[in-house]
Amino acid sequence: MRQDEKRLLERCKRGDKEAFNELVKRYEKQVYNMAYRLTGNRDDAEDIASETFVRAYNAIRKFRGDSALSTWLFRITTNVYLDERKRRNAHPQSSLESCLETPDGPLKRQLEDSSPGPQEIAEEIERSELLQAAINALPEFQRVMIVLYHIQELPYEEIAKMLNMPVGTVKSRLNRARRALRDKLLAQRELFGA
Amino acid sequence: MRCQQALDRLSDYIEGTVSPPMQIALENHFAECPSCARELASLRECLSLLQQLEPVDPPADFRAKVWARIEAQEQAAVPWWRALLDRPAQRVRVAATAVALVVFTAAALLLPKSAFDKSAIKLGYDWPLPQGFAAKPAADLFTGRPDLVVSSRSKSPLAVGEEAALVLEVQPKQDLKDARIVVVRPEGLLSSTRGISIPYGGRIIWQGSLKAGDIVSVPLNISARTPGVYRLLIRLEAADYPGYGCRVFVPVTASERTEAVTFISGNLSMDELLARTALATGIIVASDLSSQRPLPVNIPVTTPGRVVSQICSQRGLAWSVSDGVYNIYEVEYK
Repeated sequence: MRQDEKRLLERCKRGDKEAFNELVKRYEKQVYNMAYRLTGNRDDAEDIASETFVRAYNAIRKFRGDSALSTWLFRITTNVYLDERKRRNAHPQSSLESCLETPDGPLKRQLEDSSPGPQEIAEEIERSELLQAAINALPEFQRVMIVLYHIQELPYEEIAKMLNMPVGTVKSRLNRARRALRDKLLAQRELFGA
Repeated sequence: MRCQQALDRLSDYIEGTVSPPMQIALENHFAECPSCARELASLRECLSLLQQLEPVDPPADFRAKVWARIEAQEQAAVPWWRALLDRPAQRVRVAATAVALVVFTAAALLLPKSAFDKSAIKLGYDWPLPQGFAAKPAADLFTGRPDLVVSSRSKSPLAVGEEAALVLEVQPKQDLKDARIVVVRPEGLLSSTRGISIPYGGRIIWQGSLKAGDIVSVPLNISARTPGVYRLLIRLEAADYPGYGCRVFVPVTASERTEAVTFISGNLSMDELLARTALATGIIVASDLSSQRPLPVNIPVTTPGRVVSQICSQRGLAWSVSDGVYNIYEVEYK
């Protein structure tokens, strides 16, 4: 962690609200953008992003600073997002901690059950960009992988630490997620006639 | 090399992280296998699109909302007698941009009885309506010409690739120095933003100085590559002037719309209502935004547009503004 980050973190841990405001100012764009890419709409993005900072405010005293502040915040964002999806879908949900590796991939059956069908995809197209709609059509965990790597531009090692899995697994999962994304994009182009 | 092996390594190949012998083996495979070559090309395209995604900014009052939530949970945690006794903790001054408050006078809020005189109602547009569709005016609430009015010469729903000829007319009520018309980065409400092309997207399309009452007409042609409804924000800015903005919803269809459409109502924001109205009717709809500055939290402000939109959303009506007249109408589909 950089020196200036360390100093900011120390001040936040002491309860310095000005410092926390500085933290929000520094990271609000990245956190909001990540929330937007995960959810595909501004209202949900605002909910998730603001909840992220509230949780960060409550948890900052316990944060040991063993990762970059941004990584820590992205991790919270991911958890808030997955928690919110769990609440809405009431489907069995893969949280970061509890994701099980099976020979066929992560909890494939459950993740694909909650994935939207062609009708929802078509409606999604009306509400967001073509690519964002494709991202939205991915199962949650694949969406998270795409957003962490391609939108937040975290390196494999950071993602591996965040998701508590080996780098090799991150790579192969991401490979699968990218190809799934490409498939969704092609499917929508056909539907959309674009 | 088998296809499955090649496909498993597609990502690494694109990122250039495969060993040189593997790279050669993969390239040989792609040369011989058109199906894997196609997979490679489409994956490359998808990843490059991902890279081009531009960041989306949070709303201006985002930080204020975060603090409101934090403070709400802190209030909840403190017993009421404690809160009375304690001095407030060091308060953070959340920076709020200076804003021109537009206070709506009570006189304008009251609807004069004559506004509902049907013979006085003017249909502010004369677009031909698609078959099976009827719109009738519900009421004229206000007259009073906005400083910036957007009208359209395009008569039917736009097809993909066709150009809509918009005309932006400025007639300020005060002298304007360093005036400029800005087309703010288009936002897609119901479809892709990247599908639309505007000659000066996100930039100033006219500059000059104006005296009160001067009229300036600026043409703006837009077209779209993909169907949907596009929202443009067009602003008039000048020194010592609060700014005047207008939202324009442009519907673009992939094909002729011949069958009747269901009007979707429900818990929609005014933007969504207008956008879906535009999409369903194929009519370019413009609405008025008198102030686009970010507002500090908790300060009540209203504009003619907001009053109209509040009334309309309560009664399930649609509205538009044209030539200084706010038009409110009921939309019916047969």
